[in-house]
Amino acid sequence: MFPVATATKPVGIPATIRSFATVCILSLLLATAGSAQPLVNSKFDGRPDPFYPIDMWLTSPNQQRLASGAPGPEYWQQKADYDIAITLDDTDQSIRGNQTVKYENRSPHSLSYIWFQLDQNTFKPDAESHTASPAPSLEGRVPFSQLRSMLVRQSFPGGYVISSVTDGKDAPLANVINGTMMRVDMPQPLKPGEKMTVKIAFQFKIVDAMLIRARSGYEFFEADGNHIYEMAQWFPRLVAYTDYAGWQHEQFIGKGEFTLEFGDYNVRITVPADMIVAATGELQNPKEVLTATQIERLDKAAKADKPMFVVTPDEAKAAEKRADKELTASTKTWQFVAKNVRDFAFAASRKFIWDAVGHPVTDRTVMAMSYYPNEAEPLWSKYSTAAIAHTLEVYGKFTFDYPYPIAISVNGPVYGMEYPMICFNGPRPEKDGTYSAATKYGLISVIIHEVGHNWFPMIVNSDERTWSWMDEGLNTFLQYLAEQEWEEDYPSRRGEPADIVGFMTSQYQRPIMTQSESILQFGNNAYGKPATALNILRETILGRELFDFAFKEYSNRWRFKRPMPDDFFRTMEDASGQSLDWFWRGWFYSTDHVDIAIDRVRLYQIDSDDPDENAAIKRRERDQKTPSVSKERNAELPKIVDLQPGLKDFYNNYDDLAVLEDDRKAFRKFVDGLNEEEQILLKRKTNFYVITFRNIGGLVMPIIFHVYFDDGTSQRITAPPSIWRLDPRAVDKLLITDKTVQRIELDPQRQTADAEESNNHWPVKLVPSRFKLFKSSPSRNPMQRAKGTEGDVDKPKEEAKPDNGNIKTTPEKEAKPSVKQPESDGKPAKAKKPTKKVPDPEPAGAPQ
Amino acid sequence: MSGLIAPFFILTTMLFHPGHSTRVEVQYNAADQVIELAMRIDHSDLEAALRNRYGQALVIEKLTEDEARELIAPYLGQTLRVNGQKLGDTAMNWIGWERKRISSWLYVEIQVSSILTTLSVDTDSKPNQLEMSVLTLLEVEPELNHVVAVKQNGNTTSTVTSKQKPNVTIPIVPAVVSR
Repeated sequence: MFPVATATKPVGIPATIRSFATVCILSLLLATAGSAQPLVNSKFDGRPDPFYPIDMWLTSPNQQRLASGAPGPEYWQQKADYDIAITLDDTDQSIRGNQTVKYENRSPHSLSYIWFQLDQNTFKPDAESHTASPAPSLEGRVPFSQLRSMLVRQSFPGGYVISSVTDGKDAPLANVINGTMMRVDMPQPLKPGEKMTVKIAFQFKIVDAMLIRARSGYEFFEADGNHIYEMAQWFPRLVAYTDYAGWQHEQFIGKGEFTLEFGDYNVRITVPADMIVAATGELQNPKEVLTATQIERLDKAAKADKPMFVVTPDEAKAAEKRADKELTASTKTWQFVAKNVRDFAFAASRKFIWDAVGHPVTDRTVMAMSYYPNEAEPLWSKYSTAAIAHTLEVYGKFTFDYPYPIAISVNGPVYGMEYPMICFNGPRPEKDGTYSAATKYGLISVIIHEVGHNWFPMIVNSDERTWSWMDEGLNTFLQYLAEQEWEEDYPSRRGEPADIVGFMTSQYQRPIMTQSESILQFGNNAYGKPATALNILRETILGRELFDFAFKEYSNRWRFKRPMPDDFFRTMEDASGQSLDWFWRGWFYSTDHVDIAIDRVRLYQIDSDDPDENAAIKRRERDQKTPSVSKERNAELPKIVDLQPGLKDFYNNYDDLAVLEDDRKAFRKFVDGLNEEEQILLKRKTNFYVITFRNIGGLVMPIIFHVYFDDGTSQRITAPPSIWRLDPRAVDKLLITDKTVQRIELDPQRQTADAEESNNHWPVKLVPSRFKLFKSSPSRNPMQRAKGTEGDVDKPKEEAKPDNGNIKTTPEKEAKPSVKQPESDGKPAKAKKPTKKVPDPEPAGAPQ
Repeated sequence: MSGLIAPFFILTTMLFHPGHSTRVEVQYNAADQVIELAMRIDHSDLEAALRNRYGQALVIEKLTEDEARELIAPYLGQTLRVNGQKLGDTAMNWIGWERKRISSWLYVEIQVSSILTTLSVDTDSKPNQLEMSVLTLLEVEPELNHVVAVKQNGNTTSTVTSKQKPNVTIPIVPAVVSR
């Protein structure tokens, strides 16, 4: 049907060099902006002003993007609608198909060419993602899996075979492939408001995701000969054309994911007839691909209050045996329609168990559904769909209601990756069905995270290829909130300020505002630090009410639109009524960390100048002073004036602290000259404490400290960050009290990610190392703690060391351990104090 | 999702625990001439390492105190090195562990005197130093980072180590004049 294939020729410009140059230019711009700013001050220790506005780092507001951070009246974005028909070939693990893209130019510009992303080209042996990768370490033991991966990566025939690119009338369109991008030239420039149809015929080999770890691919199960396919970034996708960058021209080389145009999708996926398919979008032809029983169960699940099986574990087990040869040999075509999404992904397998439940979102029902093999049980039926529903609830509360009709979690080879309405998640229990707490909470967390990506960036469509933190950071922050609403003491990995300290004090890092491919310590930089920063902004800087309003405002302003970092920064300030430039500067543009110390405490009291009072004070001070060693030892020596009293005169009996009557008269005269209020003030016994705080880490933050008084009372005091505005190195804070301060503790609730706890106390408190703390703490096992018995509580752990104090080390190659794990009772570990009922899926209408 | 570069190994675990690092706190105890080391390690990583080492799946939550000492201590002994030397039978003491829900703190002492045959600490000379290699978990997670905090005289210096750069310097503070 398609005309002769048009020429597809690679461009000779090395993509590596281009990408490197781009990164350099970006870095240079940032550095130039930083050095050109009027902040570095040679008359002030070279210190920049941490409160200087960051406007010079932001783009100038315009009618597309307003100074308030909202989209402007002239905001525009393109639209791309897709009609795709593909066949998944289970015999050679490949995809073949055709797509028709209707591209609508809503920009005010004429376009003489358009670009497509060809992400599958990243699996070509000569792809930049491969050629630009540093060599892995081969020292020591190299696992077989790593060896296989390296060898497969060298030879896997990945990448697209594009057999034709034509217009709507099947006329060939000139095109050029450059790495992971393809330029398609327009016969005539596409003017504003015009539409263009582009048809592309393509095919590619699917990667073995267990060998070439990527965002999609297949997993082969040797025991039953089946595959699980998780297909993403699998069709030529139109590149975003934006007001801030023109065509998004970053090559796909690994970390930077993607940004795309919104559009409507109509996708037909042909697979072996005994496979189950999960995809972005609503199934259009259930009667053609599902059994009557499955359709009935799905209907029941939509109205159920807990997940129900659409395909039961037994049915999945039967399917994976390929008992029905006729079904295995024939095919079915599943048709899905998705409206207003920026991408499309799907999964397919015979092995899938399928459970579902209808989750109410305002007046709609969203189908929360999970697809997983029996190998994922019993963990998945218990937690996956429940985690989806929980995410819809919590994320909706903090942003906007989930707008799509379905939300899917699939278990397969990909550990965690998100697409509109569908995500892939990897954790599974052990083969014996047991699982560790890490696996359980890892699964719940990764599902919350990946489902949560529907909001950021699938709907709030930030540019991941440039700014990873805009989706990963915001999403990890909301993930933390959702986890904390799952159960008490949920072991969140990210969000608590104290957890980011190690990263923030490390040397190998770049600011959050770093282009995706140049980020060092990716997880900490793009996920952990921004999530923690937002948590601090919410809990400590703005407070929950102001923050939640501003964050929700940002989410709603930019839903189904494309925000940039500036839009986020500006909206949070605009909607909270709080200048936060100092916060963005410190947390997002710098690698400073927080370390505020209590340097010293000075006490001032009112000196009334009353001579009797002063003399008493001086006498007390003198008497309390410890005599010098010589004076003490010489006290017993006989003195000559004692032996010869005639040597004494006036000065031997003179009290230099004695108060003269003239002094008393002068004081009385002074007091008589004061008015009544001044006389009362003069008599006040108030303490004026001046506490000096030193900023060691460089990042300015509020000073939160707790003051304990000698009468047993205490007081929490918070100085806002602007207290550092005149001197970001050190600042004095005045505390006026009639009480006596006993001790002061800085940041007692660990709100600010203060890196050094040992300097947070006055008087200085020796903070033992974790090691010392452990050695000196009483050893009690959980059972003892639960019973409240003393047991060996007083026995230090060090006493529990082996007799000789040494451990026998073992040779490099180790025999199997002699200890045996306790036999599993087949039951998973129970969660601690679950606060929500997490029902087990039940087969609708099925007795088991 | 995290990254595809480096090149494809880190993808699957990045989200599971995005930071993908351990926390190590080290300090030299001059009085006892030992390096005191505390390491926070994720159970999933530790299980993978023990499975790789012993060829048997182990669930951390099920380990008894004795089993932890018998299994984990030898593993640390093989993957922590001081001045390039593996820790022999007498070089490392297992002090104990604090098992949390998804990670554990492991505590060991490394006897410096048994590693350096001629350790001489002289107050007149500059502080000696040791190079510690933290190779723990790297055989199963080549992209993992260790954030190593070295404490000395109340100051803490943090270093991120990796398979490519596994070493960290530990100052030997001369608290006692030995000659």
